[in-house]
Amino acid sequence: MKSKITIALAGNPNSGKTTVFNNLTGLRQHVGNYPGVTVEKKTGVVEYKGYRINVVDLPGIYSLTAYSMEEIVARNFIIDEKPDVVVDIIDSSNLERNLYLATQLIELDSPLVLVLNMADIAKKSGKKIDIDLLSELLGAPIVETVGCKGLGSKEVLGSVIEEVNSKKKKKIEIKYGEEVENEINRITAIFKREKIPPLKFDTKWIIVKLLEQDNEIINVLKETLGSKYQKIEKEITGSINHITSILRNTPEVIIAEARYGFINGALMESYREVDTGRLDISEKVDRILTNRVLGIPIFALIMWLMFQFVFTVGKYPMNWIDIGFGKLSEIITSNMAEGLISSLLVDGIIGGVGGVIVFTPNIMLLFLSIAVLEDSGYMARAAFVMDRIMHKIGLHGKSFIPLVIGFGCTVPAYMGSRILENKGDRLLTMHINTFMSCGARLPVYILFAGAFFPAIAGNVIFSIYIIGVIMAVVMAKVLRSTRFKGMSDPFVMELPPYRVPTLKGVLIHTWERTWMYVKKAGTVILAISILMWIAFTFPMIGNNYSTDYHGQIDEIEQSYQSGTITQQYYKEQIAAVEGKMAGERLAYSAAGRIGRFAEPVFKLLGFDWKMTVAAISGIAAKEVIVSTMGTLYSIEEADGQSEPLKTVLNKNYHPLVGYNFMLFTLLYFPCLTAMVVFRKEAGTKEMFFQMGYTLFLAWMVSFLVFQIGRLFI
Amino acid sequence: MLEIILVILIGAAALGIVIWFAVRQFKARGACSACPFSDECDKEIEDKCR
Repeated sequence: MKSKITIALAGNPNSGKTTVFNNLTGLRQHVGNYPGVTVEKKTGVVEYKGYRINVVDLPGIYSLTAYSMEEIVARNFIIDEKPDVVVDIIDSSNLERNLYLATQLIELDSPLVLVLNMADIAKKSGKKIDIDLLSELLGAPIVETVGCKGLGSKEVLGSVIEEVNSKKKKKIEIKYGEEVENEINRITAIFKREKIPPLKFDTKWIIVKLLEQDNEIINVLKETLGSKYQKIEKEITGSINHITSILRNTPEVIIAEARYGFINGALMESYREVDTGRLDISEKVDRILTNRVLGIPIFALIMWLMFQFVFTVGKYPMNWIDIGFGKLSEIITSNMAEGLISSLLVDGIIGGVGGVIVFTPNIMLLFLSIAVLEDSGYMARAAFVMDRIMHKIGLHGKSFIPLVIGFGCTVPAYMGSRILENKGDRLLTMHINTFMSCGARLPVYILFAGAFFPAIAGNVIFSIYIIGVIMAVVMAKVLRSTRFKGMSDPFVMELPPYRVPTLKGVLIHTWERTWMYVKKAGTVILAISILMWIAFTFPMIGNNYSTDYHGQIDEIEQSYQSGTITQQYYKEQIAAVEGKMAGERLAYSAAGRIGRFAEPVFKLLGFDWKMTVAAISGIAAKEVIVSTMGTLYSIEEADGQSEPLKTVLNKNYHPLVGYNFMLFTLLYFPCLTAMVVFRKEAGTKEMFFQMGYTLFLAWMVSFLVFQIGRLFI
Repeated sequence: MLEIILVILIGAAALGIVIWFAVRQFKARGACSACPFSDECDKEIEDKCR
């Protein structure tokens, strides 16, 4: 008896697989109500009845062919890692399509447990399933679950343990029809004659895959068999031609039809659907939300409302945190002697990290909104509505999913592009995903929109997001007609039923993303802020000021003491001289020198050397722009006279420059982390192309906006 | 002088964190570089992000 069990969760996208995984393991995976959430496989451990069960959540797949990365990942795991049991999560309300994967798992002869998830929805819509009979027909135990309510998890684990301890059952054979079966038998005989060594796959399964022209299996056989493969290849080609000539269809189609025939046969006996004769709520709502005319305006309205909500509601807690950091700075300034450490704490750490932490409520609200839209099923509708437009601009309908993920973070969005089977579609989607404004850019927008357009900040931020989408559309069109020529494959978007998002699900999702943001601010951004402060402080100017500022201060003090100037005028004069000194100190520093060196390139966009340094620092992560600005102006506004960053920005720059800076931030590549992932997903050449073209585009657009805009100011 | 030494130490630590982060990004396989659950990865669930 085994005490350690490994189970693999397989299932169609949106079958509730990740929810079942979370219920089984208690892990908090991101659960989205649209296909393609699980790109990588994830693992959790659960103890049950003395067993230690390792649960692996495989990517959502429709079949075990080798058309997409997910399918290959899932299939290779089942074949190579040989889990003790494969648990196939099936959407009960969509049995026929979901069972297609089950038939392929049956073909693989993996120990199998079938989980009919969302059993409540199926029952409510009048579907009746004879579980015992279906289980007998498919040769695998079946358990009913309601993932969103956590029902049935123990039964699943119990079935898994039973399956592990049960004797090997007779394999259920799926028959592919006489012609195909004859060819399988013929090739099997050739395998024996050629003394093909035992492979890790079942011979019949390999032959079926060869008849289906499965590239992955072909490559494995080429490598394993060497010259012997040529003989097999010749025979397979002969079989394919023979089947095609007789049945007027490729073996791939014939085999798929046979699988559906097997499913239909099983369902005919065990499944009954009661016609309710009325539209359910999902269908009624869909008539409006996915309407050809109303669909897109409704989508735009929902997005607009989301940004209004994020900015309007978020500004209150944002101000409270800001006041808190201001008080903390005051306490440090009044209790510590003026010097490097005090400056590091106040200007570097509080000015930098504090500037980023301030936006946590907005980030929380943004992810809360996205979580509600995803979990309710609306995002899948948005994908459906956008599908027509996507095709018009040369994008695959499925591209919408990674593009939406890009509004959260570009890194998983790049990885999410794997759901696109065609390489051209995948690269194109990745190249334009950078224009989907990620959460890290939001603090920059809130800072600048709040500084320059306080009354209409929500609308300004919305306009930046819209410009991002427009740029994505334009670049998709350009890249499709230049670098990635050709048409994308057809695609059918599934529409999951609407579900009221569970409070727990939404809160977990929001918390995970917010915690990521805070963690990033407390680690990498803290470290970068300290390094930026050092770069803004050293080398120290010493006595290398261009003017004798100390002499000027002495003169002002003498005038004040002799009573020739008022206290108010004295304070203003001292602040003005100290401001000039701080400006020279910053310009003398390492960061100042870099900024001034690069300034001529950015001056044409309206940026001074400080904005230049902030934009360069944003390459590390976009939040760093805010922390750099915070540190920079905190150092400049020394001696406890610091004003809120927004006020300082408003005083120093024209709104046109502020808006232009937001545009520049939007358009150049997201961050170094994203570029590392881009390289992993698409290769070094494509990564450099991404960096180069987005930088060029950002510069060109900002140049045009500033040069044209200045004509009107 | 003490302040300068402290700043050098803090700066070196900060640089270390940034380098560690960058190395982790380049070395990590698959989704690990940005996996939101990477902090939960331990020996028991080591292949979670593989």
